[in-house]
This record gives sequence, structure tokens and C-alpha cells, in this order.
Amino acid sequence: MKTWLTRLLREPLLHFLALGALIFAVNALLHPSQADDPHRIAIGKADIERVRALYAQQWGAPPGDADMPKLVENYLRSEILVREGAALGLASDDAVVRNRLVQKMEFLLQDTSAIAQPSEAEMAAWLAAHADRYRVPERLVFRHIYFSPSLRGDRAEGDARAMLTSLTLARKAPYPAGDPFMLAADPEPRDQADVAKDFGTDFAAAVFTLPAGSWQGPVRSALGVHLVRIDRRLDARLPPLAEIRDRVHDDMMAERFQTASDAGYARIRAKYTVTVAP
Amino acid sequence: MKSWFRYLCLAVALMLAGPARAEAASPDQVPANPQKNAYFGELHLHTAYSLDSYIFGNPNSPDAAYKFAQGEAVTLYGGETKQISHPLDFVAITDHAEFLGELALCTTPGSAAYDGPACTGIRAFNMMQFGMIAASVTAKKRRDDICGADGKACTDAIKGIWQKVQENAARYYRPGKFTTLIGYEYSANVPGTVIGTSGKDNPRANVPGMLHRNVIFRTDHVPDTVFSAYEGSGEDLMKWLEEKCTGPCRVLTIPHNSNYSWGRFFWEGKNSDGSPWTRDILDRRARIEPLVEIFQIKGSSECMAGIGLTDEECGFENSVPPCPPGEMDQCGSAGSFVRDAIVRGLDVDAKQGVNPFKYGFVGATDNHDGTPGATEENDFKGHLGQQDNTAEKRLGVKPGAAVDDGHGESGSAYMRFSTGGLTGVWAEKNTREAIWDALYARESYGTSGTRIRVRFFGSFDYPADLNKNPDLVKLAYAKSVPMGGDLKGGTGKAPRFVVWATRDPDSAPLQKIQIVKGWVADGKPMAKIYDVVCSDGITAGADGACADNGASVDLATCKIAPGKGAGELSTTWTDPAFDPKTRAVYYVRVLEDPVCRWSTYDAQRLKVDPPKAVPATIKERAWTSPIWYSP
Repeated sequence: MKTWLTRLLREPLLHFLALGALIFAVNALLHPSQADDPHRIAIGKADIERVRALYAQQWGAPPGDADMPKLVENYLRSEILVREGAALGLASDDAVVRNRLVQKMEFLLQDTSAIAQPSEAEMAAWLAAHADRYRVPERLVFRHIYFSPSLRGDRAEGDARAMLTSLTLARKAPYPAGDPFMLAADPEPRDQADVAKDFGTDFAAAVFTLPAGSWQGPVRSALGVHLVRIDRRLDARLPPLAEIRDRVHDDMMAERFQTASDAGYARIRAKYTVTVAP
Repeated sequence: MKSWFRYLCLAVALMLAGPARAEAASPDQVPANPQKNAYFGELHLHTAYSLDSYIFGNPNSPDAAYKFAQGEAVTLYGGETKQISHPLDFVAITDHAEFLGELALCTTPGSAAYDGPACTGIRAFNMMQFGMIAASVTAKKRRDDICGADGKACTDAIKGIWQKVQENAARYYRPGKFTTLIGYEYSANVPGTVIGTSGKDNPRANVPGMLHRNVIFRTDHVPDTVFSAYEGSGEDLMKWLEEKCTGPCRVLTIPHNSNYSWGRFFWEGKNSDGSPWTRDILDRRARIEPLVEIFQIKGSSECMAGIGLTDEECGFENSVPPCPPGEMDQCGSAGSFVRDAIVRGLDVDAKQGVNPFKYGFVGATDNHDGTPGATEENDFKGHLGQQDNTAEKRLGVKPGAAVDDGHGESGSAYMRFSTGGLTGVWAEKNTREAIWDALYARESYGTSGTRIRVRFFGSFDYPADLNKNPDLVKLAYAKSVPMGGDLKGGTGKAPRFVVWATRDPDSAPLQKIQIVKGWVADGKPMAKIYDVVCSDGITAGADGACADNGASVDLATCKIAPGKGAGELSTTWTDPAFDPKTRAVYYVRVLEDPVCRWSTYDAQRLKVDPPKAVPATIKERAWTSPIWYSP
């Protein structure tokens, strides 16, 4: 049964009918007095001018008067074929045509004038309701001593262990520098994704489980071997509205646009009776 | 029905307008690291503000592109979403200057051109209309049916949309976090290219030669309009920029797709129209054009033709056929490739006292989907809207088809294209001024899309093991020149170079680092490739080359076999064949172990074998800006 439904939903004719009805409905809303007869074609002065201009553009000179009946007939032919083709749903399985139609409809459905700016209180309520989206993840400030496999070969890990022992005995800064490391020491707190970007995901995951305040390791990264000391751990936090007002504002406006669009769609959707095979 | 389009275009116009918002934090407050950080970014990207992108159905405006660069997912033509693996540090959106006015008029209801056949055709994604507009660029005459007989309607309309380009860049600039550089692309075609026929015995790229440049401004001080190919040649562009961009305005240009320039970009002795060089033109080029784009979606411009043909890595991601001897149209010849140019530039410098080809390197995508830095091989979703938005279109093969079913040599031309590259910049901080200054100083490198970090310094007085010193970077900046710099004079002693690279944790480990040396002997450009450090404990043999490290990839899963390659490689290298009397240029190429090419991932999605016309795997790489030696 399910494949039946899928097949039905994929049926271009169904798409076309739905779209066609949608377009008809909105068109009727916008032009209530206009009763379109699909089998009536009125070729106006502007259409004839366009035919003439297109010819001139293609051939470098305007058409002669004798050419015009044939050109108008060609235009008529294409207009009729477009209408008939559309009626057969030939346009509706063409991704370009479909996407553009849908996009046009979405624009039409958004009544931008009716969308209000959110108040301070509304933004605060929104922030509370969407805390997960704005929460800053746990961050670490850490330093590390690097042991380069490129310079030390297989000794890198053993050298790191030996140094860890001496560090544990010494316990105090200044700490030894280790091998040259490509990235500058970063005193800024960094979240796990940030650390993964530079050191690889395994290293980032390992470092976030280490205790703070003492040298730990060795920890392997995509680059080599490290001893790591976490100086500061900042818990995940939800920033106050003042800190992220612009972002909250933009997100709320985006949602209000979407709501307006959905409401517009719902109004049209209400005109349809749809049955779906079980 | 016509009013429909009015509504749509009103909405598009509103979108183009967008809200304006000032940026609070000041670039001066961002802390500087004197030892510099590597920032990754994109300097070549098209959005729906580019007429070709618009006609390909790309829905993404600059707003979407800036959001994408900072890590948000965007929707592509056809409904798929795309998200970058890691945010970029900087981006320049470079929409085509040529059609800005035309696009503005054709999408603004009520404009004189709006209801004409050209604009209605463009809005209906009519490729013939696009072809006619493109042809008008070659003819250097704006279409009078859009722009009026004098073209003024379009040149007037540019100013509004150029203003929006600037506002968009201002809105997303976050000093210290994310830098937006204001820019555009100038896209002239080779004048009078004859498009010949192409066949099996006479392979040709059937497109006009491209003499395209990106124009990148330092700050928001910019001229009040753009200079396009309708207004003049690339040489005219540089002159115009120097006249209009004065005082606090600073600008540089970056040529790209020299591989598609049909030998004209680095045409020795000749301007792009074939006229002879003048001293003015050479000086201006040296002043305003410090960089060249060495890699992008339409392939590598490093070294397919010209010198260095024994270098096996010159076979990397070439998308044009080589020229038969003596020919240059619709194929690759010496004047199209960067390595040949920077070496011949030494000779021009020696003879004329100015080097018009003193190029540092950047990489970019040139993608037309509004997705800057979308270079992941394993998640490639095309780059030209509806032209290549599915794996089927990109490979020219149906899902599950047998290998010989229209597949392989006869498959889609898109499969020769790449996912595009990135630019690495060594700068003290992530602000417009710091990034642009580093670019202008050529302290930059291009990559094939990977995020390798690579340092390169040269000096006459390094110790032989500087690369092992913990204070390496501090000492190097104090005693030497970084990539992009000049080594002059000396005592006749060979210069030493420190090179140091780390892998991209998301791509493959490093295989080796090479130094490419170029010089001129008896008027002939020469090049030699040195493998200066190998991974896996291998040392370079007598021929200067590392033995293969045996790295491999499983083509069924694209998993890299573990245990090969390095997280980091470094060395201090001395040129063994240094001649103090001869000018030379040195640049670094860092090679990764192989990974699956995007086309192999696509083949997996379609359950077909990888196409035979392109390699199943590639070695991602980075190319540093050169260091120049002169006596």
C-alpha cells in the first residue's frame, strides 16, 4: 500500500493538478473579475511588438510586413503548445519549472507588510523557549607540549612519558617548550568542534575528558603526541539576551516569515479535499 | 499572469536589499599574533547576483553564501542541503561585474527593459538569452535591448547593486572571527578567439579564452562603481583601478583560469590583445597584481604545459587538452601556466628591471552555487546549479549502469572538474586589513581544497637544523623572509630554506614536501623538483626523489589504509646547485597520501565503477607562494 501511495505522490499529473489548482486559486484571489478561458487567446499589440523585437534581435533587422502573419502564427503555435503541454503536466516533472513555480508561490504567500518586529519581552521568551539552540557548549583553555614524530620517530611517545614524570615532580611553570608546533598557543576558550578542526576529532574527544589543573597524557592527535594541561574549564552556558540580541531578532523574523508563509498555504490548503489511500 | 512576475521580482528585490546593520567590534581591538596564524578562506565565489549563476537556477544570494561560510547549511538548486565541514575564516564574494546592471534591470519590475524579450527570457532561464549576453561581452557592446542604445541604463543600474554588495559585506564582517573582503570578478574573453571544431583526433575546449581577474579591496573604501569587460581590457582595468582607487582605497587583482586563457595571460612580450608590452603596463601589473589563482574547480593552472613536463605531479587535475606544437587556441600552452610564467618572469626582470609575473599563489572554488569553500571530496554536490546538481549529471551515467554504458571517455565533461581549492593566509589577525596586507605581501598559499598548514622561510644565515628549534617561527621571522619574499645579494653562500607542513585532520596524512626551483639558462626557462622531506622514514634517493610510501585507499569504501604518511613534516634545506650569479625562484609543494576523488564517491552513490576518464584517487596538495633570489 505504501508503494502505492509513494507512486501516487510521485505522479506528475497529480503534481500538476495540485499546482495548477494552487495557481488558479491565487490568481483568482488576485484577479477576482478575470475569468480565464484556457481556449481563448487574445494577441495584443504588446505581444506583436515582442514578436517583432525578438525577430530583430535574432536576425539583426526588423521583420518585413509580409513576414508578420507567419511570425504571429509561430507565436500562436508556441502559446497553444505551451498551454496544451502544461495541461498534460509536461512542465511539472521539469525540476526547473517546478522549483520556480514553488518559489514564486512562497513569495506570494508571505505578506511581508503584516510581519511585526519582535518586542524585547517576546525575544526574551523566545530565547528561553529555544535555549538549546543558543547554548554555548563547554569550553576549555588548555596548553600542551608537543612531541613531533617527524623529528623523534618512534621515540615521541616515550619522550612524552618521560617528560610527564619530570613535570609531575616539578609542578611549576615555566614549562618546557617541546618541539615546534604549527599553531600558536591559544589563550581563548575553545569548544570541542574548534579543537577537532585543528587537532582531529579523537584528540578533541580525549582532551574534553581530562581533569583540569595538572599535566596529562600522552594524548595522540592527527599531528603527533602531546602532554596536555587544562587551565580552565568553562561550563556550557546560555548567553543573556543582550549578548545575542541580533541573532535572536533575525531568527525570530525568519520564523515569522515562515509562519506567514505557512498560514498563507494553510488558507489555500483549506480549499482542498485530499484523500490518501491507506 | 504578468503581475505574478512583478510580485516575485519585488520579493527578489527585497531580498537583494536586505537589512543593513553596523558591526560593533573594531579591527584595532582584535589582538595580533606577531608569529602569525594560518587563516583559510575563499577569494572567488559566485552567487545569484551573477547572471550565469542566476540562469543556472542557483537560489543562493550573498546572504546565504556568507552564512554558509560561517557554518550554516544552505539549500542548493534541486533541494539538497549543503554544509561546510568547518567554517572559513574569510571570504570574498566575487560576482561578475559584467552583468550586474543587466540583472538589476531584468529583476526590477517597472524598469524599461523588464518586459522585453531579453529580460523575460532571462527570468525564464533561457540559455539562448544567456549566450547572447555572453557574446556581447566578447563584442564589448552591452545589449541595447536591455541597456538602451548608449548602455547607460545598465551602467546606472550597477551603482545600486554595487552598493548592496558593499552592504552585504559590511553586515557579515566580524573582525577577529570572520572577514569579508569586498570584491568582484572582471571577466573579459580573449578577443577574436575562433572556436574551431573539436574531435577525437583534435581535442579542443570549445569555449572562448578567459582573461578573468578577481578584484579585491582592502577595506570598505572602494570606487563608486565597477569596471567590467564592456569598459575595456585587463590592462585598462588596472589603469582604471589605479585612477579610481586612491587615498585609503587599496586594491589588488588576481588572474584565474590561466589554463583557459589560451596562452594569453602570461604571453611574453604581449598584452592580452596581442599588442606589445609597454613599460607603463608592466609596472602597473607588478604593482597591482601580486597573486595568481593556481587551482580551482576548472582545474590546476600550475604546470600542464611549458616547462617541467617530466614532473609527474603536473598531470594533476588538468581540464584542458594540451596544444599541438605552435598552437594556442582552445588548448593548454606555456603562456597559460603559472610555473612557466614565474620562471620567465625572472628573465623579464633581468632584461627590463620589472617582473610582471611575480606571482604568489592562492586557491579558490569559483563555484556558482553560493557555497564558498565547499571543497570536500566526499560531499561534492556540484557547482553550477541545475547544470550539475546530481551525481548522474556530473558523471553522465545512470545509476547502476554497466561500466561501458556511455561511461568513461564519453561521459560528462563535468567529471574533469574539481571540487575547487582554498587559500591559506599567514596573518597577524583575522581582519580585513591584516588579511589583505598578507595577500598583497604574497604570504599566502593555495590548496586543492584541503587545509594543510605550511610555513616556508628562506635565509642566508640559518643554522642547518632550524626546523628543530622550538623558537623556529620567532627566529625565522627575525632572520629571514617568509613565502612571497625576496632574498637579495648574500655572500655567494647558498640560501637555506625552512619548510614545515601539518596535515588537515579531515584529509589524508602527508606524503612528502617538494621544493620546485626555477631559473633561466641561455634564455630558456628551467625547473627542477626536489623531494626535500619524505614521510615514513624514507630518505630521498640520489635522483632527489622519495620512494613511494605505499599509501593506499580502498576504492569500494574510500577508507585510507592506516599506518602511512605523516601528521607533520619539516626540514631545513640547502639548494645543492645554487649559482649566486643566477636569478632563481623557489616554491613548495606539499603532497598528501591519496584520497578518493569526488567522482569516485559519486560512482559509489550511483553504484557504478569509478569513471575511467579521470583518476579514481588524487593526492591533495598545497602550493606556497615562491621566494625569489636575485644577486
